[in-house]
Amino acid sequence: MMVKGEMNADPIESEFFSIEHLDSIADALVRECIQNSLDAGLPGETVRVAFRLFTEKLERNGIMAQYLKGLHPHLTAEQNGLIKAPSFDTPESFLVIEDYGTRGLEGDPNQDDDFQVTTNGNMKNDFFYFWRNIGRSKKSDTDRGRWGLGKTVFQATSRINTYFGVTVRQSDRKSMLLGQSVLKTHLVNGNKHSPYGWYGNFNEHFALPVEDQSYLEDFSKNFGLKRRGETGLSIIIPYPDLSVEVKTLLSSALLHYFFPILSKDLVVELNKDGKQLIIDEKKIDQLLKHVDFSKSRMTREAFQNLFSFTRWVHAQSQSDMIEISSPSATSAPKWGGNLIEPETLSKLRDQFDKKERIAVRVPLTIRPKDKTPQKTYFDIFIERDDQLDRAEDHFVREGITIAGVSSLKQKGIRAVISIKDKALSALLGDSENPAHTEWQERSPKFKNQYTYGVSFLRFVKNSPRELIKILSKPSLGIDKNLLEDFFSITPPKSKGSTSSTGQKNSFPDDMIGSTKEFHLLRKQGGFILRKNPKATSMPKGVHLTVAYEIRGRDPFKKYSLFDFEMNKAPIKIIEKGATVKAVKENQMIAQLFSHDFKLEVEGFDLNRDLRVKIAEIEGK
Amino acid sequence: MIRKLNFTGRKKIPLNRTLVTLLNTEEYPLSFDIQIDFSDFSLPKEALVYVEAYKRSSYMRFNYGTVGNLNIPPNRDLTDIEAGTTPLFRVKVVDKSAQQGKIIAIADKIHPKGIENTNRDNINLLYVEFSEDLGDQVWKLDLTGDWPAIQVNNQMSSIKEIAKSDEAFIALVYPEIVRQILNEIVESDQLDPEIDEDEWYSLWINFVSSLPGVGSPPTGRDANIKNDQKDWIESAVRGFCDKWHLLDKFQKLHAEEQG
Repeated sequence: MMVKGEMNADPIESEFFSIEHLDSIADALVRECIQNSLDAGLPGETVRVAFRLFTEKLERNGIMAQYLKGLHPHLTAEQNGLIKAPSFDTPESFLVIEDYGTRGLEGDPNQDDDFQVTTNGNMKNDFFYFWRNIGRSKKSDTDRGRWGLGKTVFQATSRINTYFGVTVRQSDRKSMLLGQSVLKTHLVNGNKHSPYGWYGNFNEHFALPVEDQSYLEDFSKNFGLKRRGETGLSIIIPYPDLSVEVKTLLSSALLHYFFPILSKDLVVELNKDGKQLIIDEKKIDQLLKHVDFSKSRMTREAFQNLFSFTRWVHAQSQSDMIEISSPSATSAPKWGGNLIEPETLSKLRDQFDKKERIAVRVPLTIRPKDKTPQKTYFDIFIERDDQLDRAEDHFVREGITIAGVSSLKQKGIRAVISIKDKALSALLGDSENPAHTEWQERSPKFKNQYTYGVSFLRFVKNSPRELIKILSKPSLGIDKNLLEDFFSITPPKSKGSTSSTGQKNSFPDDMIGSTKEFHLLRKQGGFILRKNPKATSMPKGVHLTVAYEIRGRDPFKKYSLFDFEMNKAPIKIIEKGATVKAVKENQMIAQLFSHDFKLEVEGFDLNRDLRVKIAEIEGK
Repeated sequence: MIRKLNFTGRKKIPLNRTLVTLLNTEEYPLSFDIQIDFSDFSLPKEALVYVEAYKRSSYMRFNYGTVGNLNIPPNRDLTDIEAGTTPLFRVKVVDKSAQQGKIIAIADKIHPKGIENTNRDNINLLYVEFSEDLGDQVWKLDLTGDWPAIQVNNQMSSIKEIAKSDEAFIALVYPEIVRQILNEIVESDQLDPEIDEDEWYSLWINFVSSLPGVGSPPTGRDANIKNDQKDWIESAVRGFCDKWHLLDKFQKLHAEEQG
């Protein structure tokens, strides 16, 4: 109950929860639960998270009334923020989320202050920050979730904004139960109540967890908890949002956590009224048949290909990675071909052209303000998939996919960018929004915390796009075949040309060309022009142009007086049945008056090849 | 009709007897290696072998010993070749037994790193050259070399894919390429359709003549010949567009982008 003069403020933490890059509340729930569990993971153990949905009327009927009796007046109070609270008479439903292979909520449950040092001198108090703190996370810099707002998804998932938590702690093996309800400031029987309500034991107004073993056993039995002394945290959400279904949970787990599942760091269990699905590295592919892809951003095939690719990613050892050069440690990092040694670049381009998978390690030196520069790195994995009709990139920071980050534009490319190193993970984590779906340059936790911080952020974010640009930039040079579809010809067999072995083809030795009207024949040091025996008519005349061959140039344009002049020695013209009408430089016009005309031109340099152009002059 | 008379008896070395590999491709100057196969050519063992690198007006010659004893020069840096370009190569075999050296065999227009694929039946009529020298131009037709080439700007990522398959690029650029090439052929008076595999002019004339509704180019000396040739060029451009249904594709692409 609130005292007079106490500030009236309704909880706004749910407003920080943007689900812009998330499909639904189920999506946010999966992300938050598994992220917390991965953060609490015990070294060397696989983290297992089980989601169990209870919807059918079982012998548990009546348990809501049993455990929420004291809450009932608040749930029915006016202006409490609930849209329509379900009555305890309606069929009961609840969602249980249990994790294993984790440490549970450690820390002194009596702590009420984040600067209070606990009896064992440990400043880190999971219990305090989970239950008694909003928006002020003390998770370490490298934990996946650092905002302290994520747990609000639990109350948001419940239609009565209420949830319970039972934890078994690794340090002392103690079990503890606490519950919380978050409403708006409201009146009950004329008394004003603050938004936060508690379920537990009370020392005055301070809520303390229930630790009575017998009570906890009954609670566990009533809510179907499977934990039997294993350390971890169990969350119980009464009346979960109707969108929370096995299919939506499955789809979210596959999309957001395929990476740690395929690396065997995570197993997810989904259960509804006793029917179970296990999502682990072995079964993940076959589970795609249960996903409703009509609401998914990715197709079934895209998921299958992504899983296949991710298995390959996890199989790469450090020695398999191609390490490029680190950008300068004293200026803002920038992408460019200069980061890759020429020989390495050639090898990578060759792999890219051949559509081989590529694994690149990018070293960096980041500079937190007022601290020593830190060497760090991240990995980029690329594959080409012609069946992809769009670009697909996945940024994974310590196992969690940052769903809203994307920079790749090129179709047919799949990329996974993996950030595992703690130093870089901390930098990126500081820039993340509360839902961990974006990297925000102006994030208050990030701004001004690093020298060239924004540049490092962009460097990582743009990495797949920039690397593809570098790899797909064609080497200088000529591609002779690129346009063969548009510009190519099948040549007929050539006449009179020299074959590849230097032997002449089987045509009359002296015939080098013919038209309808003429035959052109070779002679020693010159040529002969005469009528084509098959021609039925004869042109009025002929115009001859002659020049010595010049490689790669039009010989007629390159003719020079120093080459020869047709009307001067050593060039000699012999005409029969024709009269030479004009001769100048390298050209001659002759009138033809007999069908058996013959024009012979000789005297050319035998050490040079000759080109002859013959054009008929029309008329009879 | 245009014909060549081979008085010199010069042998043509097929391109598949040579292989040029460029070295230091990301640096300047480039360097190269070349392999040459003279077997079955019956060339005099003492004939000299020269390898030349050239690009437009820049040129370098390297002495490679003799046919019987090829000697690779240690320094093969292409210092005189324009930076940012890829040179072509030629191999000349020179008989110096007479007072004046005579080229007795030649391989010309050798492209580096490209073994001429003699298994292909077709001859490609337009090469693509990836160039750094185009500034802000996306493309440019280059007819100054031995073979027509469209230069495309290497600074643009995916330009290779664009040149090969982007429908907008194809619709807007390639008809103009056809027009420019045919204009050059007409202006050079190279309208002889008789095939000469070494000469791209005749191959192009045969190529466009086979396009729908085009036919052979008009030749002759009558007064209207220039206009007739211009009309023929435009019919060739239209024929190319018709063959590839370029208007339909462009319209469809535009509609998809607007939709």
